[in-house]
Amino acid sequence: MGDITTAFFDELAESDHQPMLRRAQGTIRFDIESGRTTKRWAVTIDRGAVTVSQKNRAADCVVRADGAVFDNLVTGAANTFAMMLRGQVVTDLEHPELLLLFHRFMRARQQAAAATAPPAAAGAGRARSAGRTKR
Amino acid sequence: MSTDAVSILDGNTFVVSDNRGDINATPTDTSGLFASDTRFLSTWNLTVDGQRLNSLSVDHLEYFASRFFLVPGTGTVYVDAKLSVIRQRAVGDGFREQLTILNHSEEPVTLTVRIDAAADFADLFEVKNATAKKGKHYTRVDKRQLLLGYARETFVRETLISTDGDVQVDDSGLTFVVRIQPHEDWKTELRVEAIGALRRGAAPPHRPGTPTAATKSRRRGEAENAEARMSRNLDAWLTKAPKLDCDNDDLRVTYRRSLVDLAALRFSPLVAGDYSLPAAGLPWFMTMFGRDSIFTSLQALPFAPELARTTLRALADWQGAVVDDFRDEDPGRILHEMRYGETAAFEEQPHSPYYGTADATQLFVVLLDEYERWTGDLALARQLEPEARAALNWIDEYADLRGNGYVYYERRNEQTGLENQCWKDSWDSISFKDGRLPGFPRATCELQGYAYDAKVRAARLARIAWKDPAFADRLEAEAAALKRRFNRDFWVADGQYFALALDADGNQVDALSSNIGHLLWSGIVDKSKAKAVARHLMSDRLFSGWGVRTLAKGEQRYNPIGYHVGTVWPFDNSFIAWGLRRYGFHDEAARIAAGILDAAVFFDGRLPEAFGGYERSLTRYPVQYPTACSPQAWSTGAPLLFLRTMLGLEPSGDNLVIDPALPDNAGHIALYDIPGRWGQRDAFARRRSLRG
Repeated sequence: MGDITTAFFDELAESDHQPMLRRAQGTIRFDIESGRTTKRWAVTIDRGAVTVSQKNRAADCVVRADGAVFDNLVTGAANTFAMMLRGQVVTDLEHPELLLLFHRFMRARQQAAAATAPPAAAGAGRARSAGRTKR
Repeated sequence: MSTDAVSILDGNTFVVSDNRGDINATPTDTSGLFASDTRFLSTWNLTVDGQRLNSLSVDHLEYFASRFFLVPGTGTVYVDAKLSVIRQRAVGDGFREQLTILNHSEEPVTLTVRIDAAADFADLFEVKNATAKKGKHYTRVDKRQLLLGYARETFVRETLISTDGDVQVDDSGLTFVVRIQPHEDWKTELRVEAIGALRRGAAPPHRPGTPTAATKSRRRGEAENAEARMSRNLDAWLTKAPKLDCDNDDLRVTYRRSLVDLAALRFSPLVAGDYSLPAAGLPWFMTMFGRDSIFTSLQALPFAPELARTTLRALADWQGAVVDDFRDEDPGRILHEMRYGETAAFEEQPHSPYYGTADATQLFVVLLDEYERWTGDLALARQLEPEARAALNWIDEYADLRGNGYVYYERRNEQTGLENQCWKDSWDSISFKDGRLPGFPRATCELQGYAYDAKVRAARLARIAWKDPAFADRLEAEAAALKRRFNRDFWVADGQYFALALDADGNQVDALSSNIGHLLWSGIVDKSKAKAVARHLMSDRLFSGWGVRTLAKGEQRYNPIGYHVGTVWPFDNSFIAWGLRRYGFHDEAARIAAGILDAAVFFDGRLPEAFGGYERSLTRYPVQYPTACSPQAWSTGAPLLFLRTMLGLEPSGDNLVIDPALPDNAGHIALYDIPGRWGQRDAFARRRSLRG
């Protein structure tokens, strides 16, 4: 996997509270595969408070994906739900709401990263011109 | 789908077969076993000694189970049967079929019983459009099971057919050679599993042709459990609902039909735990739709408030977060439609999910407030504060495409996005009186009403739940300004009604339509204009005698059997009646309720999506619009909302106000155990002045 995934979890570990994840409760473990190696990040969310561990610990929701695929999820080049349907992201679905809230959190993060352009004039959906995802 | 098609379902798993229980799908036929928007069986034919069977009768046991009584023969009228065949089928994670053959003769018989099976793994969108598959099919034959599979890269879907008896399996079916003694019977059970369909607790297959450990361990006993669970679940659902007592037997039938169909249409999106929300309709729309789920939850609030709770939570979880042109997604926007099939997986369709709707976002806020008013569940209103604020922000910052303070829509996904993003979403639904179609973007009137209502209601939530009176003041000021603007810009002065829409230049799209009824519901109509609006709704041009037409007679595009340009929609009418009551037009609301509920009698209590706009006096019966979607959630919910409207049920603080206004000849209506923040209350009403 690339640096993108590692940087993403490092950044997440640094943050202490994520409002977008405030309704999530539990541990979601990401098993990110690259060739024969698997790196694990266990993200424990308690009403928006986030801790990240790289220990192989039990989780409420386990998500498995290839490193390159996960990089694309982080940058927004790929969509988590489409990748789940396609079988590129595999999850046990016992607590899918954890992955779903995480998916939205990642999307919002992409929006924040993209919204650096100055806003356009009023009208024409003025907020939209800042931060646009093209396919 | 043939007219005698039999459908049974559980969530978004459903089976459509003919009245023999057979499935013979063509590329554009909706027969089959479907799960997660994929057809897991396209052929499922039973023969005895090489002969197809004839149907004697079909028992619809429950919405998830059917029983087919069959006899061999050539299909002539006279059937001299020495054998009977019973197929009993129940849906639940695929389906389970019990096959029973009875020998009525004095002699033993030896029979070859054959099930032919095939799966095309068509996506629902492919069934609609008949497109070719891009992946590879495979089969695997085992001792007592047949696996049909489909793989496209890592997208894998499999159908596993298994049985316990002595059976020969080949790659196109299963054959039993059975000997049955005189007056004895033979039984077997066939299990069909849809593997790879997304559902809670299910693991997707890892490699083509290799069922996972989870699948293997779940195989036995699961189907029986699913059936028992569903049966208990339906009983509990019916027991929990308020009890209706009335003089009118037809109303009782319609009420029960609505409750049972609503139970059938419940759907657990992956996010909702064990809770469920209303899917839109069978068979095309067994999925989460923002608009349909919200409207149905609103209709059902006095009867099953938990549907609203799930709808709100699920839609909040999926709320848009990013500007994404392919999905027409914006931060704060509520989804339009979610799909689980191959075309969504490979992003050939944008439904992962698709956000192209211009009303669900406002309606989300409306539902949150209405839900709190009924249930007193302040905790949810607080929990969803950020989502509600994001939705309100969407109205101002993303939907105002012309910078003139109105909600407009125009798709950014020009290939597969929706052109009309309001509930009347067919191509010709938004027109001028003279039939011209406006360009894009378009601002239909009801979208402004919903935005107004969302702001007014959010102001209340801001005070009681979010403790932000300054925000409440701002919202109320914005709502008041919107109302002033709207009553000026949309009012067609020479016709005394509101325009259907504004075009991109702010010109009035001046057709007279049912949309003006929604404006009453939202409260955006100036009091001084309400009487004229009510008069139009009840005029011969709009009111057919059964209900209010989508488009008025006399408009260029009016067509009594045009999807959104002349038909009568029960759902539409239920909100129009609610709106009329809001402005004090009690008798008018009751007339609409009576018309639609009368129509329901002709459909055994199951209101169709729409019926023809012909004069009631002309046809004497409502002419069903030819569509395969039945039951449909918001038609199912319509009788419930009519009951609320007729009984005048309205939360007021911690009390339920009951202010009935029944139609003529309604007699007496009592509704017991209406749930809400008051605990449970009963409502009684009687129409005293019987006329004619």
